[in-house]
Amino acid sequence: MRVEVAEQMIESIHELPEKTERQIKSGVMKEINRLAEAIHNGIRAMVSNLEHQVSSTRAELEANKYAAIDKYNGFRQKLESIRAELSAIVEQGAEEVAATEDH
Amino acid sequence: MESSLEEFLVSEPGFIKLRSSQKLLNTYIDELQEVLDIKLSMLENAKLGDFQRLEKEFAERKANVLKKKEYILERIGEKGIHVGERLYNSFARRCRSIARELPGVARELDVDGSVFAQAEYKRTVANLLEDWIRSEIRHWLETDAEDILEVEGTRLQQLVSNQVEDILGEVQKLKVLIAPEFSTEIEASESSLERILAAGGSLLLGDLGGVITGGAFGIKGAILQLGGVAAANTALWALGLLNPATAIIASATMTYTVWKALTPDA
Repeated sequence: MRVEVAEQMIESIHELPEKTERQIKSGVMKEINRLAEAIHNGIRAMVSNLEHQVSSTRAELEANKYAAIDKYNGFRQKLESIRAELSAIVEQGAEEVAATEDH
Repeated sequence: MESSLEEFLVSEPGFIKLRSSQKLLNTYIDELQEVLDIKLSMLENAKLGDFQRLEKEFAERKANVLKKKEYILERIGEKGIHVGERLYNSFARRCRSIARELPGVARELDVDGSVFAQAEYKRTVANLLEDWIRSEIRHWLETDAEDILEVEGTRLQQLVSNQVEDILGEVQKLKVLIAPEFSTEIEASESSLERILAAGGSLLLGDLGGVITGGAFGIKGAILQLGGVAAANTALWALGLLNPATAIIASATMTYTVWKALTPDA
């Protein structure tokens, strides 16, 4: 009787690959697509950003070159302070994580 | 984006969250710094009369970069199909072997109960066999499936790294085209994908001032967006913080699918 029960189950085991084929493959493609999308977005952003610099620089040169240079030098300083701010946030976060994980 | 960030913040260990966010944000800041340098170089050295030629040449080279991008996306897609096929074939083989072994396993079962209470006896046997099938499939997930994903994941990383490095080389040429005085060494391949991920998840598109001074979103927006990028397993494994095999095998779809197929009434 045990073998009889097993034989009844064999049919559904044979059907398993067919039942799961689409989901197994789409599960993999879901992960793969995340990677592809991230690469697509990243490359597009890099190129579009450079393109924007070309067109905006043309307009800035036409308007006031030296004012634009001052403005971007100011941004450079601001960026450095953001970098320092980020380090401080991460440092503080690391201490909090360490304290939580110690508990 | 917000929900994936929330999931990331709730589910990932604190150390990984911090490390991935910090790495991506630093890469993002490096990119901004580079663009600022290019911008200043253009402002200081370019002449208005050069712009028509520059824009034309930029458009041509941009087309080349986008063509290479399409190529890599196609290769990644092909790789996905190949991995899915390998996993499916492996699973089908395991199912056939389970079916072959099942009668033998049934014979060896140690079943409590009376053969006179047939319905209950059959139910007990069926439950025990189902437990055995589940453990066999779990074993498949942990061995064969994981081996396939480990190997294919490494190959995928290699493919992506090489192609992405090539594309970054082209982007670098674009930078030199618009600002010939600007020249930096292209970074090592392991950071190439990281740079692209940071650019894709960032606010680089548009006006630099808005990003840096906080006009539109500012640094908080960047943290939120990059946190969202880091929430994707893709970014985590690209940063070497997660094994690609683990990412795919842990995918809820994959595991749930197999379990559900076994228990259609669940």
